[in-house]
Amino acid sequence: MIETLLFYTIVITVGATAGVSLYGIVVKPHVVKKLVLLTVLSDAVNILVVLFGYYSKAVSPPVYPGGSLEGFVFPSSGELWDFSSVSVDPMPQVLIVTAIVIGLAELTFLSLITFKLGSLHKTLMFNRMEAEEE
Amino acid sequence: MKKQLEDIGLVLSILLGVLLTYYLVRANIVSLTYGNIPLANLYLLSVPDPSSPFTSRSPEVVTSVVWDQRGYDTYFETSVLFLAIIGVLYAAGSSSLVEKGSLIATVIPRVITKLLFPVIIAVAISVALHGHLTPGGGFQGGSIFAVAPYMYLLIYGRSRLEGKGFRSNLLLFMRSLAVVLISLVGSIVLAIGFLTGVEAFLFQNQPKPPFSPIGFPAYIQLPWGGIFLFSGTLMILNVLEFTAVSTGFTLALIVIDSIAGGRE
Repeated sequence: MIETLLFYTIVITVGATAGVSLYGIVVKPHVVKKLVLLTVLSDAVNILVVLFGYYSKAVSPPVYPGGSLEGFVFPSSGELWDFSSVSVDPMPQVLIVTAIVIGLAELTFLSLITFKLGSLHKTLMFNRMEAEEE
Repeated sequence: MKKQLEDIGLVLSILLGVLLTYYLVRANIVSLTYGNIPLANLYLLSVPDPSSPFTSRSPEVVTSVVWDQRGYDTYFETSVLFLAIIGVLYAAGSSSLVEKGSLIATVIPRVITKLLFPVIIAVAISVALHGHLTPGGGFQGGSIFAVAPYMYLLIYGRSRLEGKGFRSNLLLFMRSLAVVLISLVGSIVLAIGFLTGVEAFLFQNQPKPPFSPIGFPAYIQLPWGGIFLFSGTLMILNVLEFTAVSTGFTLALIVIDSIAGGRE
């Protein structure tokens, strides 16, 4: 019961965070605020994607225990079925590993563009830039 | 009036996020009782199993899927990071790469940085080298590694970091070399298959008996007894990806620090 309550609290919090950051990206005129909220949105979505793979019986990461550089006793088919019934889904984790790195690449590029925009317009507020052009 | 409109918009967007998650819960995508989907079971059952044709002979399913089953895709994701950094370097230009005056940090951050620098690097290398055995891998290790030069950059400034060997040209060279070597390792089985006339695949790791008889070995016998398990391409690609991500992140942080004026 308490686990269910905690799980759905986390899910709703993540959804609300995604909603707030989407609102900020659309409404707030400052470019740096948009950048910060973009990272908050991507983190919220990453946590949501990790939650796709979780369920009550999942107590193990998607790593078969007992591996070392000196060797690994390869499991039999029955042991693998036992393992797959207590392991979380590996696919969401695979997707977010690369999503985090891509997110940082994107953030680096956007912060450079922000810097160039700031040195060009002497302001980072979109509404003032528009007023300047008119 | 404008303030009230903004509040209404905030409440509506929170409701939108909660509705989205409600849909995900109702569609059983986020669920506590629903077990693994068949695709997850396919990977969990076939990756550590040496008798399966889709095996990687590694206990770590996530790294195996990243570098074996989905290796071609991951290669282009590495290229995206590479191109972003090339774009940043191009747009920043060389004229703006001048260091402004740097502020001397107090003794506590300086000592802590000196103490933590080798520890962070050791943890990062350990995470990357055990990527095919325990949770972690090249991406994770590289991201951990980038924390060490960034701390140094913030506390001591860029000239001290360059004195430690983190020079922009060297980092860019290592970054490009790692990307080239990743594509080379990915295509080596295909090249051997092409030359010997048997079927092979791009980013192939282990031999796939009904389809392709060639592939990387999973372990080597050491001359003093025992084996060394490296799961074919997984360990090689993890080390290369560790080099690529750590040098790429360090380079990006140095460039961002220099165009933003360094420490005033």
